Amino acid sequence: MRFKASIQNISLLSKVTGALSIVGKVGVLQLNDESVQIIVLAADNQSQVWSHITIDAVFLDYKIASASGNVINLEVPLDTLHRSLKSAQTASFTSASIRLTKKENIPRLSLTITTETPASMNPAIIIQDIPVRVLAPQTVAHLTKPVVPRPETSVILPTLSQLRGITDRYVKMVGPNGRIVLEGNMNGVLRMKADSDAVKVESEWRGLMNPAVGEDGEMEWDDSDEQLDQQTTQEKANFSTVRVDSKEWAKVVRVCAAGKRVIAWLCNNHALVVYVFMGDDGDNNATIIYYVSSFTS
Amino acid sequence: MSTLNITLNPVAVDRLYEALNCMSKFGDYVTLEAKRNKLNLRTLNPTHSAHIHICLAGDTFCDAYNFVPDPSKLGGSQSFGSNGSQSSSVRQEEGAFICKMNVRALLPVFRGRYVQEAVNKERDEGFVQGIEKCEISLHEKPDKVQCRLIVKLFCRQGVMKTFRLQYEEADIMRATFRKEWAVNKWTIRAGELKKWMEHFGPKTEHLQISPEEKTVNFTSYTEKVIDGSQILKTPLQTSIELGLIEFSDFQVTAETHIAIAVKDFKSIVSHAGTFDQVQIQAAYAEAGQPMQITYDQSGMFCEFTLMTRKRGATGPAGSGRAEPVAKIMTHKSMSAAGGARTRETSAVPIKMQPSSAGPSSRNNSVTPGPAPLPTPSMAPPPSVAPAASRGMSRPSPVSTEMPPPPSRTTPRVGSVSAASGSFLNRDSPSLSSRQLSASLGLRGSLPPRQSQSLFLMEEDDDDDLFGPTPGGADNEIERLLDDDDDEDVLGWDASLGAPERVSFVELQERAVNADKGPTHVGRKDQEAQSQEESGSYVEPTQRKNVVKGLFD
Repeated sequence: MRFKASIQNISLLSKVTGALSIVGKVGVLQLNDESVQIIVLAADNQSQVWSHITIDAVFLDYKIASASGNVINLEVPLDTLHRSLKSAQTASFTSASIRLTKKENIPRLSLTITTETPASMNPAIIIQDIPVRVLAPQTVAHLTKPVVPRPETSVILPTLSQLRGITDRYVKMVGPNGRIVLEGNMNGVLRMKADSDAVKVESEWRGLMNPAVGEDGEMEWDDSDEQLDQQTTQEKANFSTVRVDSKEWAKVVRVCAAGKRVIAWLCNNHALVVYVFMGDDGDNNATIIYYVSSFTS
Repeated sequence: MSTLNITLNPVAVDRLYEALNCMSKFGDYVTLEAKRNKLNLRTLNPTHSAHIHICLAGDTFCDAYNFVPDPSKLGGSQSFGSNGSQSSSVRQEEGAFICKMNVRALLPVFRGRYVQEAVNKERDEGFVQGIEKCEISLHEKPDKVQCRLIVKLFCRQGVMKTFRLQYEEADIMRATFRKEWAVNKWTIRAGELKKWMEHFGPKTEHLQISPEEKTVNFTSYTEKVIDGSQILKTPLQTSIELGLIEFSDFQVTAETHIAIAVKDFKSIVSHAGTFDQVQIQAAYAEAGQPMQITYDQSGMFCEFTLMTRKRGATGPAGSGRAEPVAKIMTHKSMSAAGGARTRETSAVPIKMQPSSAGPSSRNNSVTPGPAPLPTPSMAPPPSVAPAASRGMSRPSPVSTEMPPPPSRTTPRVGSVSAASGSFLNRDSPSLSSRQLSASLGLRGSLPPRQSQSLFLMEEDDDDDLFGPTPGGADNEIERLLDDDDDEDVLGWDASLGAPERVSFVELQERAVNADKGPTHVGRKDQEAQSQEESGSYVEPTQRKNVVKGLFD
């Protein structure tokens, strides 16, 4: 089992791991010939986060080999990984590489960062060894991306700094284990509602963009229903509703804030799926997909 | 009654706060020692593996400094230079005022928000209040009921804040450190080192410093054993390779790999980093012997004495403070000219018994024998352990309470015990010389002690496994003798630089050590070595804990 690569876009990798470390402490890192996936599963099974990075977007000289079809599955501590990547965030950073190794009997992802010292401009090398656990293929065999129906509503979320400020207040109001209701339609309207014993609040955004479902690559849905792409005016005005845990929604918003472009799918009474495009161009090279299941009212 | 009046300007107040803040990361108490021309602040961490001494010069740090010793405490003992350096006796300058305060009580008083340009800009940005000056005065009353240290802050707009702080009597703890043995030295700009240290994660325990051909390697590691399910909680292991060119000065013998606590080192470096352009100087001998880090600016002299260890040597892993106990004290009396073993630093705690009779002219320090090398061969007799355990169990005792016999720390490694007792020396004139004196005569016949072994020796596997072993009769005798030894041994500031005298016993020990030395070197098997050594650093009580932690 071998994995070795140099990192050409460490800030992108750092952004992705930073966002994922908001979601959970441990993630499953899947490496194969074509892409890198990081999967974070919530303990309560209410949400899953799938992050997908194309190799060319981040790595150079990517070499992988393993007995199971050049696939390596690792369990990684996300905050440690993120912290170690921060070592590269200096002005004097010159290059970085990563490889799978074993030290003191603990498998580690070894990150080598070369920088220049500020005074003398001489190279200095920082090595960060992140402990990982190697997972057998059968251990991760059950991990499959959630399947969602074609969403009734697809909407680009409002300005994220604004959304975050408002969300934080909602979370405080509804308290722990509170519910937040999201409603949206294809006329560019999104509502956020909190309804607790003590307080009832509602915010509404209008004029949001409604991207066509699937206009971006990598978006997947269960198309068995063969819905028509052309919705009637009536259908467009219909609101689809999801109810999510307030803490979870706060996390979603924080992850969104790290992205360049964010599309939310509201699958009526079923699930909230948030696509976060992390790349500077908002392209598909690095995405985080946040699946949250909706509570039934 | 001693008189103490200090006036500080706002910048000095901020500096003082930074110093106290740094000390608070090591110990809960800070000992103040006022002398004629300077104020010494000291603290010792709970495991006695780190000793901090910060000296505020009366003339350059303070706007005004006036200390008049208590006349009733003067006389009797010989007085030493005001600089306190290297007097043969342990006792501090005559009449010095010594007290102990909780450092956390002091922090809010001086919290660094009094200057326009805060020393620590990151923390204090946008948080500026003005004071014009700070006056510190001592109100010591004979009846001892109303004694207070009074701090007055004169703020803008005529507001004055007054803090009346309680203090306790205290003994002085000093770290002894043999500069002449510390052949390995390096100097680097603090600001730069601080930036490098930021790469180290929060939970990692130890920092190994290893010179290589053209570079120096700073590597963090953790010795805590982590089982499979917790593997992902293993702290980030960081390694930084810096070119020697980054150092203003770098002289370290090859193969000298030492390890210290990351947390301690970071605390020191971040404090040093609050000074502009200050250079940190480090000096040490070899793993298992103390390292001293010094820097100074604007009348503040900072000196950190840290115990070092060798990677692989086990400490009380569970405790998180794995370091060997303070080996900090050395015998001043020993002459550097140890012959073969010139480099070793001996950490000897000094003990003083206040209760004992008259002041002796000599310092009582418990001298550890010649410092034993960390080599396995040096392993101290198991018997040492009991002594050590005793010492350990005792929280830093008030000096007066220290029982004389136990207090004598055997120089042996086990001596950590001594550390608690010994560290807190009482400088009070009342020290009895008698304990010390007896030992000299006897020593000749005794087998050489391995004073340093307390920390270093660990060879004894038995020791590790079972904690203190019942001491042999010999040990008892030795311990007793050791007390007597105190007379001979002069402890404390290695830095003082007074000429050292070597006792016969010490010479003997050194010779023995020297003989052993080669064997040590010969050993190639690092692992085996380290394993053996590992036991040595841990005190018996701690070891038990460790064992428990591992298997629980």
